[in-house]
Amino acid sequence: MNLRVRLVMLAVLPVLLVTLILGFYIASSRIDDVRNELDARGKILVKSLLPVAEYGLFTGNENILRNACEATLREDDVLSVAVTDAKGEFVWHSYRDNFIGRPAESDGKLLYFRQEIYRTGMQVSDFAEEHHSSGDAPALTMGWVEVVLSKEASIERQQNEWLNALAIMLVGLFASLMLGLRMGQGVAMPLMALTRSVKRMERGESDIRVKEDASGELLSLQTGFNSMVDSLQKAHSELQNRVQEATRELQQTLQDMEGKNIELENARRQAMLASMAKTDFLAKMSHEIRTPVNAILGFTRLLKKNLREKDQNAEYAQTATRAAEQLLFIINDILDFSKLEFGDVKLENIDFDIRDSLEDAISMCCPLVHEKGLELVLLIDSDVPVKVTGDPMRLNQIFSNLLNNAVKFTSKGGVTAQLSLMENGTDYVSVRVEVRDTGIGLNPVEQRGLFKAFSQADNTITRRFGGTGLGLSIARRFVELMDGSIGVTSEPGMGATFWFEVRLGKQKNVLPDDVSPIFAGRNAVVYDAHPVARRSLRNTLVGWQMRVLNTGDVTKLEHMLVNSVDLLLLGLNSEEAQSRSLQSMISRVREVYAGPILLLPNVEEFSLPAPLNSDNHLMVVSKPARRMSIYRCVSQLLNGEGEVNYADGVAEVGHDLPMENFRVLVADDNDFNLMLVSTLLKQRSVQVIEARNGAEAVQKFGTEDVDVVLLDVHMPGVDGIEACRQMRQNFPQKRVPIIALTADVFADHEQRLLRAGADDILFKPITEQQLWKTLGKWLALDRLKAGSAEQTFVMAQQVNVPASLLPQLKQELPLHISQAIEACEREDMAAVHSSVHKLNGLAGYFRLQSLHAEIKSLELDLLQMKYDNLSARLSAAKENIAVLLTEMSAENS
Amino acid sequence: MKRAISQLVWLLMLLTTNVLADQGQTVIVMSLRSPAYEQVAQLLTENMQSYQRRVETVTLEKWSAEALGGAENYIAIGGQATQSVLERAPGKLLLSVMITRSAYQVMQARHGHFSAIYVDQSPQRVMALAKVLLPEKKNIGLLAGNKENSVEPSYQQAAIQLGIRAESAFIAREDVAATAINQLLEDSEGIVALPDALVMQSNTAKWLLYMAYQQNVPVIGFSQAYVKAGALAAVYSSPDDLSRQANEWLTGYFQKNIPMRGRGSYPKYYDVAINRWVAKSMLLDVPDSDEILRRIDQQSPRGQQ
Repeated sequence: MNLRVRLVMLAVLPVLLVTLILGFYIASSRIDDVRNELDARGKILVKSLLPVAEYGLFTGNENILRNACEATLREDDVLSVAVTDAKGEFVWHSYRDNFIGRPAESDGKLLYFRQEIYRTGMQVSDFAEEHHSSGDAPALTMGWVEVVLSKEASIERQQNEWLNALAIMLVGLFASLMLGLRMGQGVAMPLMALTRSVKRMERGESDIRVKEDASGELLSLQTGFNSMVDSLQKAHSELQNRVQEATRELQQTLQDMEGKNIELENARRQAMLASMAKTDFLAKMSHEIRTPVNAILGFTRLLKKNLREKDQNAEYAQTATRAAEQLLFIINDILDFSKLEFGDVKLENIDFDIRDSLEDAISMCCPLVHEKGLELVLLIDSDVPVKVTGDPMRLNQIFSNLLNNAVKFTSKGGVTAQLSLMENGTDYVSVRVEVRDTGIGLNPVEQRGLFKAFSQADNTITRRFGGTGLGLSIARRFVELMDGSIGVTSEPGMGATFWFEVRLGKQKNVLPDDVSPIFAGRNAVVYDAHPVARRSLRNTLVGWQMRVLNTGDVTKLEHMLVNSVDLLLLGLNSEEAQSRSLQSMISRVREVYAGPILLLPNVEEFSLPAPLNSDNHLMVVSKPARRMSIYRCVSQLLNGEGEVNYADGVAEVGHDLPMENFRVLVADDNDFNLMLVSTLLKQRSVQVIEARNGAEAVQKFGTEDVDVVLLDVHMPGVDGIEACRQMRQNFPQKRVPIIALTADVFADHEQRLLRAGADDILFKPITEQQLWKTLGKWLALDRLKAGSAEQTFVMAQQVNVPASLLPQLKQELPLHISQAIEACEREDMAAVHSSVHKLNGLAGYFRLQSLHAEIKSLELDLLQMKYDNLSARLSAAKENIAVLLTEMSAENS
Repeated sequence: MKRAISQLVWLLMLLTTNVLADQGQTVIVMSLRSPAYEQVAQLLTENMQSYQRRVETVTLEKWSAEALGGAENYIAIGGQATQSVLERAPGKLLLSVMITRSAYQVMQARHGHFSAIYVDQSPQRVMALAKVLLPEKKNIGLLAGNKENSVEPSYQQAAIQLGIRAESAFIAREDVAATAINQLLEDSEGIVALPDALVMQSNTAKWLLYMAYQQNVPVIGFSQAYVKAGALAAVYSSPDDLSRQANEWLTGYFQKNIPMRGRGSYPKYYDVAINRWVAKSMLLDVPDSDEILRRIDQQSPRGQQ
């Protein structure tokens, strides 16, 4: 319905409605009026006749009645007029010719009026009684006046009224329709023209004008529309100009930006190149510095071994060793800081024992602690879950920094480290490590800048105590990387407490480790004058289910040893450890106690008096002692030789493994290092094949029959990574372990080595212990694979699993390897990886070295998506597991 | 206020009914309660109380049987009260006020003489009025009621005395009143409506006035109400006039021991009512009221009725 029709409807419909209602109402009213008028006329006629009729009847004068009736009959519509007496008899009756008789009360065409004539009078007496007494009768009926009216004229008038009303309505309707049309057209046409113009505008036409022919508001609208179009056109034109201008500017800006981007890109590239150069420089510097330091340390250690203890040269060698270690420490700090600055530090997330990590750091501090005569105690709260996942090396580094710091600034007294539990979540633990010292302490101002790089509390401190000032800053960065916090509380002269809190993952399927039934219920007496050290020792023994009596008073010791005591632990400070007093104490003890004694002096073992060696029931472990060391000694003391039940890691394997039949290819361009490694190997009767560059190493790898390769990374020409890659590529059938030697500290180097095919990495400077540990691991694995005679030894080490856990192991290992094989068959590599990872964890946990090495290698390949011979390797692993479990069963039975 | 006082008076009267039996008392009995009767009773009471006469007033319907017969003096206001006193207290001194002469004559015939002041005027006075107002009219019609007990003879006699030629027409029944009126109108130039019962009928009066007016014949009525209804004039006595005359009698009787006359008497005091609209319509020259009264008194002196 368009606007015009709607406007017409709007104009006409109300008028039509009103007209109809009014017309009907008026017509009805008029018809009622006509009817009422006739009715009223009839009544009036009758009433007007009453006095005359009364008079006529009173006087009996028919002439009066006749005249009155005739006069009334001459009125319009009157058909009959009659006056009757009281009995209803006509006294006079006048009627027209067409009157056919007295009608009923209601007749369709007639109206009948009848009115009673009463005898009426007037009061003519002044006093009431006379009036009443005069016998004046009440009004009496004298007769009736009857008038009959015809309704024909009235009906005709009613019809006329209807017709008139209809005519008026029609005229009104027509007029309103015409008016509506006219007005609608007057309003609609301009609006429709405007609408059409707006639609044209919507279609994008711009040169549109409407004709200004309307009036009033519509004219204003038309004018306004045209003005608006003008304005829009103008605005559009201006906008277009502005857009063009802006576009031009934008293009210019883009061109400028492009130029700047190119410049920036160049700058970035240069920066990257510079960064890479810097990284490369750092790597090279690291290598170049570490390599000679490595050589220095190696040779000084060799020198120390070959010198007698009292030899002056031995002290020089010791000094040189410490100097080299200090230099290495400084270099490590600088390199760590650089790595942190580059963001090149990626935290590991592996299973480890937090105690081992902390004890490693403690061990590293031992020489300095002994030198300064300090008491260093590690106290681990019993509620701390020790089997955790995280980055043990970095944790060790943080702890070492705090520990070194504490030892460095403490001249007397001691340093106590405590590990406590903050929060034990479902899959994580929050631990807090506190290192309390009795050193010089710090004031608040000194504390504020403590964790900033290159900042020490006082410059004089650097001069007095040495150090780069990077240690705490590095520790802070590592703690932050672990989403932890670090801080210090201290007062000058009152010592300091450095602490850090980190969140570590919880290991799944953690099994109890060193709860050995052989110690359970044994009685031990612990003596240590240092309360925290005493507490630590006691905690350790109680953890092994031993019954412990402890004392810090040496005088009470004799009384405590009277009763049945299986073991005596004597923790001695540096004074007590002096020869004379120590011998005196041992003598006194031996008077009352002949059982095993574990001596824990706060000095190096070699500084103890020689006579102690003659006591077969006495063993010595320097403080601070590792739990493993104590356990091993206690085990030996209580169970005798060869009863070591604690599976203490690969290092022992390496140390104990016969090496004389092995052939090791050593490749290093640095003569010092080559010589050092060769010397160390030859000392163990290892056959060494030397190579001075990568190409030579590859060549000898192909020609020589070797059991393991020690490959330096940085070599001129073909470097270690390339050499490794070529070895794997050129001799795929040779599954000889390749151990990379590097001084590089950057994570990408490690990845590159592993991708090239290296099985393990040793970071320089390599200690003798690390070398044997690593070699032992891979050679043992190699023997396992070769099925050599030494396998029995290795297996003997491997199967040393507590009998209580054997059923579980028998169940878990076949299950996971089977799952891995099945997943491999359906090519579900994620599931394969998951099962292999579980196997790796189990093998590692139970120290099944050969299996662990094999599975670890497998997992590494899976990580690198190397799926070559995966099925065959899994089958081989399954066979190995079967053999292993058979051996375990035989051993336990 | 006045009404409230009256009600109080009636209440006291009821409470003291037995006291009415006292011979020193005068009991006023009214036929009914009407303003005119109450006015008369009040005026009489005030007068008698002025000379320490104890007066009690009752209406006829409140006048109980126990109270009858105790008092020696009664004043009856109205015909019915008079009839009751005559019947219930025969032999007692009675003064009847506002009774028609015709009623008095009927009661006197039945119960003997008693004193009364009529409410209607003497025929001489009425006819004198007709003569004063219609001196040019030679034939005066007298519209009377039933011939047997009509006052017409006295009027006829008065007409003769005043030298007026009077023709009478009698209304035998109410339904034939028009005939009598028509008959009278044919011969008369003026009509005197006599205070007979049938003439006093309101319907008769209405048609008399109507028909007389149609024929331009003036009507002399017998009351103020008649004049208001369309009669030319009437002589009448107001309650004050009647009370004044009765008080004169009572004062003479109680204060001066002048005995009551023992017969009926026309009102001594009267007034004249003129309908000047009618006079104007009929083109009559009517003197003022005082002049009319003076002339009536000349024609019919007051002491002679």
